[in-house]
Amino acid sequence: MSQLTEHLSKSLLAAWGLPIPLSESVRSPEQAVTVADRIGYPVMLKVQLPVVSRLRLGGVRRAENRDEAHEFSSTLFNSSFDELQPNSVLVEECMSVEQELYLGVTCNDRHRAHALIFSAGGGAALETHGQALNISIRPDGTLPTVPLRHHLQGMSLSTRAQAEVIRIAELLVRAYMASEARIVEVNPLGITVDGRVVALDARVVADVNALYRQPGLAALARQVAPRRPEDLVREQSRLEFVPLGGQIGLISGGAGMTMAVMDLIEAAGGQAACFLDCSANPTPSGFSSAINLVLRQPGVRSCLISIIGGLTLVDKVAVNFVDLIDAKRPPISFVFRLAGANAGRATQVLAQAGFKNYETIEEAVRAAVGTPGESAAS
Amino acid sequence: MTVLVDKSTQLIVQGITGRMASWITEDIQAYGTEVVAGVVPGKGGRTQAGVPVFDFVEEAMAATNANTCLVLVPPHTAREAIVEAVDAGIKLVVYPGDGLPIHDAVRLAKLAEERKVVFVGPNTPGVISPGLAKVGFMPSACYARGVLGIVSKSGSLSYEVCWRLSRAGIGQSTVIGIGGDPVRGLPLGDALSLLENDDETDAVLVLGEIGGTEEYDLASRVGNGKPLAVFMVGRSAPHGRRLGHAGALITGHSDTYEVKVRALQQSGIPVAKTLNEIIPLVRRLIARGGGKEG
Repeated sequence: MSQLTEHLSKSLLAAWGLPIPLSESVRSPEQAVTVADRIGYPVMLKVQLPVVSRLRLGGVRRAENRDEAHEFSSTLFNSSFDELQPNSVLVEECMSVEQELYLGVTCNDRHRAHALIFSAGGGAALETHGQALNISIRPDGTLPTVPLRHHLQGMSLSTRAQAEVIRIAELLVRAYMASEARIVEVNPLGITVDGRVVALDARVVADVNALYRQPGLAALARQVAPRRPEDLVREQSRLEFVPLGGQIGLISGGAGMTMAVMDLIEAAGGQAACFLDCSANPTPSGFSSAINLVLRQPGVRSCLISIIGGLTLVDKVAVNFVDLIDAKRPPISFVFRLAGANAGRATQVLAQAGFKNYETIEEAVRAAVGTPGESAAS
Repeated sequence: MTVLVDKSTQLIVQGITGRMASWITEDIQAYGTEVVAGVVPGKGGRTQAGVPVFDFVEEAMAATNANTCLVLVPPHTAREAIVEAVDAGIKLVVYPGDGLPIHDAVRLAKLAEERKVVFVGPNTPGVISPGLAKVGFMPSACYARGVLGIVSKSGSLSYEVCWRLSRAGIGQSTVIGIGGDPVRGLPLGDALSLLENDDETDAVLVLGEIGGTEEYDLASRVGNGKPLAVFMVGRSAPHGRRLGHAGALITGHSDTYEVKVRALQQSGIPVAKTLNEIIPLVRRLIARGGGKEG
């Protein structure tokens, strides 16, 4: 998944015909004031970050005048939202909105079908709003509009607004299908007092696996900054990494087994320093990056390496890690449990370097949770 | 066929000349599974791993009795390779690779449903009926023949669990890796149905992860025949963070570990919460299923 910021999402969808408020992206409080002056007060100031729930995190402010535009945008630029600090803020005209709607297009994983979701009462209320309308997109990629038309008729919307909502629903579906996105969402779609329909917020989440054949979307995705550390790690070294704050480093293969080992570490009274799945890159460079990541986690005192190889031959894994540990000489202890393909040979390789290859994961976890920071190698 | 793969499996390996693919093919042959041909566009006429290579699946079908395809090609050519296999008349296609675009997964899932083809994958080690046939790259030594059917979303987890089961004398009938992607081919429910209708399977174990709503569907299957249990990982996973598989993201409240476990238990499905709870739970399950452990 690759989430575009609001500004990038709105740019993409505006090109497909989505009506959006007047806005400009700025990189400093001074620029914010210049743009706000031009647009006219009041303005909305919105951090541009690939996070969900900006509102709840305090990332959206309303400025009534120049002083507020400067003060509030300064605060936004200097704050963190879900651990990310914004490079840009979107300065946008305030719309006076009577009604808010939700329109989203995504794949219903369970039914394995693309669908449009519509709900009255968009914004933060979506999660609590029971009655969402779900319309499956036809195999040819078009949206059946009749169910939406019936639904809109039962709401208090002018004929013109209804037609506009339908037009927007169709264009969102087109944009979603053409870009092979994961999610295309307008939340909320606002109906103004004078009957205009405008997207107050928009979110496009790309499918990273399709970006190789979506050059336009890929170019936008590259503009998203700052990125989460784990997204950068994934891109650079193809490791799945999530820091967890504990003292037991974990280098593992396969998401399911990694989670099972995290559970075992917790049950043994420890806490994993990270979720780190290197199954997509079980190579010397992947393992090197993995060790470096573990060593950067504060408070790490040991590292458990747990890999069960199917495609991955674990004797090669053993050789790689022994060489890396020898070269880096990290100040923590390493505990190994390498099983599966060529496990017997892995045990020999590890023994030659002074490491035990634990037969069961429980024994390995106990050793990792139990050992303070001396090196296990002789 | 038993469940999906057995002694009657006649396998085409698409992409056979690749380095990993040729290794996997030889490993499958060493297990005793019959590989009858390879298909690699532009490399027809060669031999690889002792079998003829063809340019098209249709040609391979005409020259052999192939009934299964293992697709070992990069994700950007996977959709076309799988469609080609289906169009040529193959009824079981296994695609272990990861990186398949979601929109391709949706197209393929729909195609498989329309043509009554079993499409296993993506992002899975494959399918194995221990002692009979292996279509995938799971480590052979972890498996032994028996009466427990297994459906797993996680490859690594299925290796560990099967290794423990085999060591404890509890063999497996068929282990189906349905994969960890958010949109998959063979759904969990369909995989369960296959095992439920298999006379060599006495009980079924599902290896699950956090995320997704399929675990709730299990609740509705109790009483349909064979005893069912679940091993659920992710008890210690933090709420709201993506861990690994794109499908393993906890978002709303209804998705938490505790809530899912409770829902399953309340509908009569035993749940193992740690690896060492599995063996005793499975022994009780098989006893209920009326069979010996194998």
